[in-house]
Amino acid sequence: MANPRYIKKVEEKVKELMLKKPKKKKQVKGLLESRKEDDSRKSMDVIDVVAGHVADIRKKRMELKNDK
Amino acid sequence: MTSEFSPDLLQAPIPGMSLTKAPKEMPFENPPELFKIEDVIEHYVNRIADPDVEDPLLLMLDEGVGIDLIADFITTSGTRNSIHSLDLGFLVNPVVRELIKYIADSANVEYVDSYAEIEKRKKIPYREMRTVIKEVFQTNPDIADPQDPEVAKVVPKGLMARAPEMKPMLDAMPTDTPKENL
Repeated sequence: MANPRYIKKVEEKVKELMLKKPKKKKQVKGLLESRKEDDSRKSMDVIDVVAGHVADIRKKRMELKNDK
Repeated sequence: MTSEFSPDLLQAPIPGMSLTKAPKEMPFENPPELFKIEDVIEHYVNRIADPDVEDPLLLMLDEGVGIDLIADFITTSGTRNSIHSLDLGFLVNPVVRELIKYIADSANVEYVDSYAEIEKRKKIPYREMRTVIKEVFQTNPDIADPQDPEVAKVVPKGLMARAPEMKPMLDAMPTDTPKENL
């Protein structure tokens, strides 16, 4: 059975992510335009990764409910 | 002297029977296929969206099985089948729960999140229950039964506490009890 403390932490992070508004990407011109996104910048924290996925699915769920 | 033979003895395992299978024959004896959390999440996203898995899943939800139990079962079976390690199964558990909820919502199936959580919510904290009983007893003492052990705990017992109503003893009629019994 999953650890309730871990689930609580994930839920807190998910709530944080749900409240956050999506950032607008800056348009970069020139040589940097073709550069791919750097993976090393991504968070390596497990809770962040899991919470990100949970938030994405929850957003889709909410969209689904709103459509109905 | 004859010893009685019990046929139940034949049902018991032979000593060393567990060592007769070839090593690494069972899936859980081998290293897991996936070891990155992103890969495991992707595996479950693809797996749960599969119609072969979706139908029994919806049936289980319809029967009233809690989502937490189903998620635990799915992730543990992933470990048993050597898809991922046990710790990754625990870490991925919240994503699997959310996926199951998504599937249930898309199919208009009502579900129970967790029976343990429902039980927890139903339980009233002792501190609150105590104050409520106290208030009820003070405002309307006839409602609360002082014989009830739960009520008896919170009934004021100090010097200034209201004494329970008693019938006057002097009004009682003398009984004709024989002296032998006294």
